Amino acid sequence: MSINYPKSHQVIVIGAGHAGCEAALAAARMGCRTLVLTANIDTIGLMSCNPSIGGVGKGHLVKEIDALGGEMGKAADHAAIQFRRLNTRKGAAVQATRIQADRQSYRSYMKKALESETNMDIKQRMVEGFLVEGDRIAGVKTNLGEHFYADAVVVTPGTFPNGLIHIGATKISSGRAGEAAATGISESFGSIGFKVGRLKTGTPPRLDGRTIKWDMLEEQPGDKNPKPFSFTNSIIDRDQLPCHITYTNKKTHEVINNNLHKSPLYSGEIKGVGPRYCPSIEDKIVKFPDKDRHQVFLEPDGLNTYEIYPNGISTSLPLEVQYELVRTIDGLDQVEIMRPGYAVEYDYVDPTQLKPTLETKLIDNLYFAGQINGTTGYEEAGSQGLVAGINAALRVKGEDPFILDRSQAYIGIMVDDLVTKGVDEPYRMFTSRAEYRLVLREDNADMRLGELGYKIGLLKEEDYLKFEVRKKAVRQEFERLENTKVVPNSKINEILISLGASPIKKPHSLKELLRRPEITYQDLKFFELNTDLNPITDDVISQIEMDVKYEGYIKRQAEQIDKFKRLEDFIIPESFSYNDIPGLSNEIVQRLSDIRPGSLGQATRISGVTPAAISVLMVYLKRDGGHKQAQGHSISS
Amino acid sequence: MRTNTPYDQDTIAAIATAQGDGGVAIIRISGSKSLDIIEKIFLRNGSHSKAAEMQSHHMHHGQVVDHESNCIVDEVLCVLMKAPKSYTGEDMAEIHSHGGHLVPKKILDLLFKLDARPANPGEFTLRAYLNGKMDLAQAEAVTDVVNAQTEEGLKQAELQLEGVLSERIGQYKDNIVDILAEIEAQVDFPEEDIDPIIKDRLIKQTIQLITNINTLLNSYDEGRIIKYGVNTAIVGKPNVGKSSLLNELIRKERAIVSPQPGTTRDFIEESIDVRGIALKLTDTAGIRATEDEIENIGVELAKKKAQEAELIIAVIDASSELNNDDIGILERIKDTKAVLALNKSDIESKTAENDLESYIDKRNIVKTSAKHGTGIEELKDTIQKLLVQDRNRSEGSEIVLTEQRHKLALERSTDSLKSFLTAIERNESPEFLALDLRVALDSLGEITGEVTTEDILGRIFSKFCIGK
Repeated sequence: MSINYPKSHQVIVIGAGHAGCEAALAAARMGCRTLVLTANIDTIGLMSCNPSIGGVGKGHLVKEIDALGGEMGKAADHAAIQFRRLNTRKGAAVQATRIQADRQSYRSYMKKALESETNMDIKQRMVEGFLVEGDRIAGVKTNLGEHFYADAVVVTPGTFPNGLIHIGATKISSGRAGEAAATGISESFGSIGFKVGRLKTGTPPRLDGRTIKWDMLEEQPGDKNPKPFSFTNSIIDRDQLPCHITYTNKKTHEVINNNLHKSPLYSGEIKGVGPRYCPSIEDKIVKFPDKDRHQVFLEPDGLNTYEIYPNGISTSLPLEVQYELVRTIDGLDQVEIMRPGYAVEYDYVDPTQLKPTLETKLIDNLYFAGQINGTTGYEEAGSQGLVAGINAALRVKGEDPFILDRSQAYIGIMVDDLVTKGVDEPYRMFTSRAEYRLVLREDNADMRLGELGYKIGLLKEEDYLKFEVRKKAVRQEFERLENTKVVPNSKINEILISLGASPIKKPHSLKELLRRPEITYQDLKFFELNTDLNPITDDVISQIEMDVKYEGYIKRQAEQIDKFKRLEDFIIPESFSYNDIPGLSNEIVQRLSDIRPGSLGQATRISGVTPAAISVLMVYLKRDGGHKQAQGHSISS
Repeated sequence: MRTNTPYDQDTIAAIATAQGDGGVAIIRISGSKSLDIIEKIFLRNGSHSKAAEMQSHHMHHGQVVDHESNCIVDEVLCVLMKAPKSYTGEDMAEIHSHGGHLVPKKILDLLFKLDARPANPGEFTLRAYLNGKMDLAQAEAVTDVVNAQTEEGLKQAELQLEGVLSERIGQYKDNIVDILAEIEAQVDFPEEDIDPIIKDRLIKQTIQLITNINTLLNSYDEGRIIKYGVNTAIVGKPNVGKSSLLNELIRKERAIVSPQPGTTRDFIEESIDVRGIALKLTDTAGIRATEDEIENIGVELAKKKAQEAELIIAVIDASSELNNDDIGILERIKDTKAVLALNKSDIESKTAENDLESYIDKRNIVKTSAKHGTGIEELKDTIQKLLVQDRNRSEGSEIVLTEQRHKLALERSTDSLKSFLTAIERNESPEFLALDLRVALDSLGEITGEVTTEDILGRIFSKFCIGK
């Protein structure tokens, strides 16, 4: 028995977590009639794990989402109860934003954002399977027997496909504590022919803040001058909540060691691979036996709750052991657990089965985003949701696909890594994944991507104009520094000496002075005659300092990018047959045929494809006249 | 001409042993049809046997039969090397037949009739490289092994082929990745309980690494000598015994019969192997001041040759007083790589070594008597010491650099490492330090393969407990 839903949509998004919300908002804002299907409308935009957005690498992703016209940065600014810049003593490229969020406030903001879109329908349904016509997606079916039709479908089910929660020996079929797993959708992945694997992640027990001895703990306050995520927000003026830091100790480790056999991680119950960088406390103690303590960050869950998220002690030990272990920790000796910690195993679909648009290679117009692709983290999920939503909309509208490359954005790096290399553990962003890190900064995300976001019709014109103003400000200030000369005299040289710099004999431009390591942008005011200048914002300053002070590095990075682009622009046609190439082994032909790289550059990043094979491929493509310009959206700068 | 058939379907064959009167010849086949072909022409106990039943990497005794006429061609040993455990990574076979001209040629023709085609020069190695059986540096060594002129040259080529150079490059890369992992951990995990980098230790590690790479780089002069030999000129005024000395050197050593193809210098008389080094000896006309126009042309040419030479063997008649011609020659060898032979030292010496010290290091002066064949061994020792004096390596176990391509890549990597040192001294932010290290890695990667960011992340997680 099936019911065909009468209204047809252009884009259906399954799931409304961080990937789903960005996908749905992008599609709707780009003019597509969009339908969101979620198993529970109350959990739209829910932060399932820690109440925090951003971090090194992750903050970069959020800024990029924001620059393209996505929502995560704005939601984070709205819900933030603490702002913290990371790496402030390091260079601009690796400085990053992170906020602690009020969990409730974040999700109600997101829900409202979705509901505010006129092109958006939201329905609480459990999707059971796909409607496929030929090689193309036609819609989805729900557990209530309804059929929803659409031109494109974006799948963002998080940890729900075959989700299995472990607490000690207890196993619960569930995608998140208290919520049923999605089994129907997992079966359809298999029946369509997707290669599916199993991953694991975990979460710590949530604590009752009223039972924590705060006085004995080290406080970590927010920044005095908080900086927003979103380029569209300027000033943040609100009270912030602190986090607190405590540590595990020998006793904690003893409790864990004595109970290891009860952990499903070590009893062999859990088959899925967990992330190395977000290990459970059991893992940390087994893998680093020499460390006598591990940090625990006590993060507030929100303004209107006492619930505390103890970041650093994710565990799947039995509840009674969880009690025992948290109570060994300083300040937590009387603590009450409000929600148990647990590990969750779930299905993911090998992302090498996707194109760089996140469309599946098997089924046209079907897109996957978020944890289903083997990633972890809200920011990673949101970025993919955005890419999938944008590309679904572009497909529906018959426009060129939207693909960012590794030199343009962290988003481009992540998508390229996923579709080229696949994953063997939950994938998280790090700045060390970026070959061209010096030019992929938080402070220039809008310069890099704003125009693209506007061009595809996602970024609002008013926001785009703000970017343009900033871009102009940077250019003008740069020119001014170049053209303003400082003539040597005793007063000028005295100032230079007082700054620890050597005196000058010839006239210098402000830019030349700024290039000296001893002189900061702020110091330039000592050399200015005209003090009546337009105020320059911090991110403009950081861009200018970067470009002037690190010109040599930036130049080398630009050379690397040039080299990279030459291979990226070497297009391999989608229908290219590797069987016809002399000199490639069967194994390599197989790898290449599976991944179907879009360019020679992408081919170089496929594991198992040797440099020798690349040279053969290059010779063959050249002879075939394969060297054409890349298609799609690109920007000339 | 290369055909367009994929290698998978394209099977190649060649006689691997030297053509000639040898007792045994080896015919090599590689490609997907190798095993089929063997099935058709190889009889065991009088009948064709399935390749699947023949154990790989084992010698099988039998006969080669002409598949058309059913005539026995030869009694042979046959070995199959099934993919991927073979030199090329493809299915391969070798037929060990009787030698001579006729038999191997007949067998080869049989193979060609059965769809194998003649292998191009170096094609077996090319396939090995394309199939990932060896890296670029190793593939380069194959030619060197085949073309080696001296024992030492061969030894070096073999070492490189075994992957000793690649291994060494791998160690350098490892060292860099270790340093990089520490630097990257600072960037990506600012809130983790990671110890701050110990600048002094990283600097020390880097300096040690640069020193190690430089040691390898310094071996290039020697490597080039080992690989290409040394242009050597024998100079002296007339009648000091240059030719007898040359003859004496040649008589005692194996003359290299085939000098490098393409070198058609009129002056090359002989190439000889001196203590593992190929000396390309040029005998020159006696150099003296002369009015004779024709002799003068010869003298000028001799001077030019001496100028071009990488090694000069100067000869002086020790039994007579130094004259202006001798002084002229001594002036010429000043500050060059040269050895001085005090010839005719069997006769009462009239040349005091002390008088020569202003022209040449005493250690490079040898007393010889071409007539009695004495001092020749000492001369060779001196030449060897002079050419490989920078060499600080234990006998045979160390590799030297022989390719300019490798040298340039290594130089680029040390440049980046030096730039890293400057940056870390200046307390630059870690992402800048990382850039220098990554460029150094890329340069090393050019020699063999690639380093990906995954390698670096892997290193970080194995060293530090990361988990916020």
